[in-house]
Amino acid sequence: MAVDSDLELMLRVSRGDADSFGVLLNRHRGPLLSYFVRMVRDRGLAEDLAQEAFLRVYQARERYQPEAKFTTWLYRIATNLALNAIRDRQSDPVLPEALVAETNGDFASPLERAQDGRPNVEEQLAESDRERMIREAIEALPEKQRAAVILHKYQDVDYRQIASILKVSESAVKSLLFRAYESLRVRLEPLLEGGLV
Amino acid sequence: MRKNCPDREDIFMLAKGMTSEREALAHITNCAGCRKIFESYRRLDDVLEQWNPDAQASPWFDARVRAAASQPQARGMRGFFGLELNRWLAAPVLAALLVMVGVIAFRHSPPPVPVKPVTQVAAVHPAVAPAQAAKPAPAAPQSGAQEVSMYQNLSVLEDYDMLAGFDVISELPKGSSKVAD
Repeated sequence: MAVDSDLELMLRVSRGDADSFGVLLNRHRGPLLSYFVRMVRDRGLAEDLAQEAFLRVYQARERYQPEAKFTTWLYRIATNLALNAIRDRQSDPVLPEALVAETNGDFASPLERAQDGRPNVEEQLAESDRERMIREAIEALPEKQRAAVILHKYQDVDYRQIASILKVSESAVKSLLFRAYESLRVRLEPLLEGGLV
Repeated sequence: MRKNCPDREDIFMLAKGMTSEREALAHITNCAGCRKIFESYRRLDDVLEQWNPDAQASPWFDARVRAAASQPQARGMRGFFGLELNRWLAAPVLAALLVMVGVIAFRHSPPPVPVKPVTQVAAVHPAVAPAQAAKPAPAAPQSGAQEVSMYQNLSVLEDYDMLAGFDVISELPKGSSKVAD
């Protein structure tokens, strides 16, 4: 049995076929959520953003023009949402790290933690030191580099699509990725056997 | 790296499969320095693959999306009152509100009260400004009748007759300049 392409499904959704939307949701839920988790770290926020992204797809169904791949469109919506969430978080006041360390305890409520993106206790336990180092190295990248690395490395999106998602040229994507990998090489030096070159 | 070695960005592109220049590939095969850089990018890719955060959707994920999608009108309203448009509307709306409040406040403000010269106030209440009160304006010497008339016309003593008959004042011993403790 042939598998319907995203494009065919989306065209059906635009004609009012709710079941096709369900198929798209089922197909892209996991990858999209994993993209948001890597972009904004906090799982609760990531889930809200993923829902918002699907909702925007549904709301725009009648205006959908099959000019690009469905995933390009989906990740463009997702990237805009994620970057806005990151900027909103940066503009919010966060407790200074030193103060947290001084009190030797985590006095922030779960809501506060969710707002500033810090992982909860379960998430902290589940994350190995190795993963924490990688996460912190990627989070330290400028936002476009971060999005480019995550789209390329974890979402398996090709360079042309990344260029369309980030609204830059394909050569700019390659340059973004090169600069990102150079920073990551420095930050992740302890994890690279044989050290840096 | 030697002089004829490709730059790091070219090596990166080779490692990532962004280019497949035969010349550069041949160079990397023969140049130990460039090969080391090439392999470091490959190792970095392997390291990055070890980051796998838990990203399982909650059981009510689909239900929430479907519920929200089934309320297009409500979602449309959120466009106006929710986060997205507020971000852009907040500044102009706030500015317009401030201008309106300013105009309303200006229209309803009382007319300005004419300010009396300091010398007159000091003369009424010597304790307020003894220095100025001690020196009446030399340019306009006043008779006793003029001074009483001036006191009657002061805005703070509008009801002169009532104040003159005020018990506490009338009970003060005459000539006394201060109240006993």
